Amino acid sequence: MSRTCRMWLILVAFLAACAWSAPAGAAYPTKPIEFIIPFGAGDSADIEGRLLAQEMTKALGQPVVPINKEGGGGAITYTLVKNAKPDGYTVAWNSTSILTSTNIGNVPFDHDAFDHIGRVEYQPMPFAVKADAKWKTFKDFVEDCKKRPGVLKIANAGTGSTTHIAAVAVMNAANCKVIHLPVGVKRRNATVLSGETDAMFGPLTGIIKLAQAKQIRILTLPSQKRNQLIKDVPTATELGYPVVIDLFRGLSVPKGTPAEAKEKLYKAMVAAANSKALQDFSKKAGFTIDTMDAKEFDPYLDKMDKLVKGILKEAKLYRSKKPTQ
Amino acid sequence: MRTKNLTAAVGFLAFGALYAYLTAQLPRRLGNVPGPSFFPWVLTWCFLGLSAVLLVQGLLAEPWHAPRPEAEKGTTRRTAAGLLFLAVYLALLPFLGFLLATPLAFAALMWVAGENRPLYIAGWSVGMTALLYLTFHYLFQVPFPAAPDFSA
Amino acid sequence: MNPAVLEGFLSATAPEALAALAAGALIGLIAGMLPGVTISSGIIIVLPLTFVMGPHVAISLLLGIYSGGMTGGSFSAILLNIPGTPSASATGLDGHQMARKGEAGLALGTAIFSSFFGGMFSLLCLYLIAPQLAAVALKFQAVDLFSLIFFGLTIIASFAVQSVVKGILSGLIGLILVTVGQDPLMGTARYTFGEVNLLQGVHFLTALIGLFAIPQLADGIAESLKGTGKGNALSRFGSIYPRWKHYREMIIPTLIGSVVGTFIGILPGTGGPIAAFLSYDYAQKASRHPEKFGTGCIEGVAAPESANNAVCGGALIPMMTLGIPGDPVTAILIGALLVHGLAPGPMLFVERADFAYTIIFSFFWSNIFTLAIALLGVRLLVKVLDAPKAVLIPAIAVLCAIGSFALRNSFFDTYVMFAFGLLGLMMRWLGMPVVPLILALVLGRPLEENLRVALTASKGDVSTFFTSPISLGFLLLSAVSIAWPFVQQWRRRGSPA
Repeated sequence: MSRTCRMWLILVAFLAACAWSAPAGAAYPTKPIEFIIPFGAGDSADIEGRLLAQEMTKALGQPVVPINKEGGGGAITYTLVKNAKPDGYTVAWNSTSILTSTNIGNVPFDHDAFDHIGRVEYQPMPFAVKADAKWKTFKDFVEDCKKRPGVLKIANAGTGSTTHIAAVAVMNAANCKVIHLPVGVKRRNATVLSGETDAMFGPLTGIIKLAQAKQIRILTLPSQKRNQLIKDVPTATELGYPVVIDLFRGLSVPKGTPAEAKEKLYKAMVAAANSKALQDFSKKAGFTIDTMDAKEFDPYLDKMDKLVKGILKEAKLYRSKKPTQ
Repeated sequence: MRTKNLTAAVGFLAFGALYAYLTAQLPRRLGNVPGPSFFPWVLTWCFLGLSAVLLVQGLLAEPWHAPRPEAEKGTTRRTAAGLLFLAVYLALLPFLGFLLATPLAFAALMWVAGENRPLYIAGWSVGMTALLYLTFHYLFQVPFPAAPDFSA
Repeated sequence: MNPAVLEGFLSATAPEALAALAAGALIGLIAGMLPGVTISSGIIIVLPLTFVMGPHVAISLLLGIYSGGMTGGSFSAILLNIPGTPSASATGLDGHQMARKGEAGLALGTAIFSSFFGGMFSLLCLYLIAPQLAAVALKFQAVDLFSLIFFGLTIIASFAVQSVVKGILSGLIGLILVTVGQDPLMGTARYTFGEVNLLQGVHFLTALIGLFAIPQLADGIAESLKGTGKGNALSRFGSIYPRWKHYREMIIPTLIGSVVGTFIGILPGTGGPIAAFLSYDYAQKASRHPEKFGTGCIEGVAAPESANNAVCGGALIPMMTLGIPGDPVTAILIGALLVHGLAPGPMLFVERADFAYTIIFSFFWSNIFTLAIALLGVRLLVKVLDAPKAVLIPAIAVLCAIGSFALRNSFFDTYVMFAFGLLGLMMRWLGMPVVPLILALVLGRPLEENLRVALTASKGDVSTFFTSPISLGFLLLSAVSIAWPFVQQWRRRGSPA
């Protein structure tokens, strides 16, 4: 009996120790940070985000845990993070989708419903078809599409995602009527390969491997200038369709997050962005690391927001959040 | 069974109607593309239709009384008490913290399950709490509030 | 022989890789067993460690967790009727009934051996015909996926022989509950009543814990008052090693499970739970005594268990050949490999064939280690059943609370779990089967997603489901699947007893 008693005593002591050792007022961060990725696993947002989270873990000394919350072109993540406790333990891996999914009206708020930490990188979103498709150039595609309006299908990462908006903008500029198919990033590449869709817009990181393996062909990119990795692919502007919409990625937190946490997150973000792992990967995958702090990022977001609003208004897809009374 | 089916059918019809009402409130979007309320409408009609079938089945069925094994009153009461204790535990967990709420709930449920020796109850409650806390908190980093939290 | 194959084998068999595998399998078994700790969360915990390891050690550790977790999930499903992972939810149907009959050991043994077989079968597919299989899977379009998932739902008919209406109503309740939260295509909030916690919808496992474990708890309390708590059937464990006649019973369901699991694993956006339920249903239809399913029969454990481990190998196929993850775990694997500069995808076999084979052989070893460690560790689990009822009942209750909380670190989910428990009790009182509801919870979201994508692509034309041959095939199978239980009933009535 005495042995059992002693065992329990030890356990009670242990419990007390556990309760006591709970951190009281230690410096941020004292526990793992949730790093929410707005798109499905295996694609650009996911790959780059996981790498950044891993490097941020090293900088912060607490695990930065990537979690995929895909759906609604990013809307699901943004809603989640907007409503999360503003304690610095929930971070959104944002992208241009924070402007597109809000302006298309998927969610009842705008990008200013968040505090932003900063931008990490940007990259083009090329237009690609299957390698054995009959369209050798973007012009072929446009001509075919005009012959058969409303038949060709373009895959995107979800209604309101940046790839969706890019597709809308480019196709409007080319005066093409197509079906936009929100297949999500999990199936986007697969649908082009299987022929379920005829083409797609996708972040360069997510499709470069398939292009290098000669399974898909990149025809154009709605970007300011050509990309290093695909030097012979013309921009949409060169082809006479002046659409420029790049994909940026950065970090956002719920509004009201303490300044100390934001500061630490920013420093960790910059350290991670400049880490060898990310720098090396950016060269391979074709994105450009160019960090911005909140002071630069906020006006940049406002500027991009106007651009996205313009595109959506032209396509008659813009939905205002301000209640119409 | 007949009474049960009728009760269920009426309950389901009410639920289906509520669901239909809520579905009607959903925003309609983007023209002819199936929107957020498309799938729920399909479900609503299927559900209401089948509930109606259940109602008709119940009305047509012969009143039939199965020789129901009469559960002892004590058993039912104990089971209800057990569920009540679990509910109270879940309600208190965020406020008392894991290390305080769990031994209490554990002890209460042991008593419900027919254990009467106090030392036994105390020992197991504290021991199991410790074991579970160790496993989940330290090994798998589940962020329970460990102790009472008065800050919020 | 391709020199890359040998190189891959050697680096997968290096002592440090094997040590990592053993550790991984153990972690996986524990993580899989504990409710609320999924395989993904087990992997995430060790993920930072893998950054500093060599790539072959990292992949060994992760694959060990993967297959260990798939096996471990069945332990708690069998012993406590709380599935440790979603993939194990079909295992509990018969596994727990076996345990109640005093055959817990045999149920665990069956689960371990059929898991091993399922894993090995999918490995063989991965090694021999990965590209061909990936090509077939790639042909699946949204219409086809919809029909496949719809076909999965028709299994409901098999569980609803008592009353078809109630069975389908149960399934519809599940589908209705799935629509709570943000809609999968546009993110519009539905039926959330402004409650932030409902935006993410109901987590499948939260619902499952409530539906399975709470009625279980109520039963346990009632039983404990009758007996003295000890000496009941549950504390008889029996031998783990199946006898020859058991193996014979296992062969067909295990084969069915392996094939179904491998194929479902390849399809992106499906995964373990679907494979487990589908193969359970097939095994039941192929069985000579389908009426025994649900009462605790070996076949009902062998089929889903072989299927969920076969999913592992299946999911590796599109990951390695296309860079498309078949399930959440392979997605994490891709991330982990990228850290080492290895990008799974069409170029992997070209650029780093040796490493591609390292993955394949690591998976081979992970199956073997899981088998060995599970067989050794299962002895310790006997102790769980030896615990008196008065301890087991509160332990289950607390595990329900922890499990539902831990999935999303949300107290709200513990209330959802409890509400589902009450729903489960109510459905039992009404004589409604619970399995259709569970099935609908698993399949509801992909069903809606693919339905809407398919209809968008066809501009609202429903005939699209009948013009695609794959889709048409599955719809015909669905018709057979619905009719099957009635045909059997009719045959049984027609033939002289």
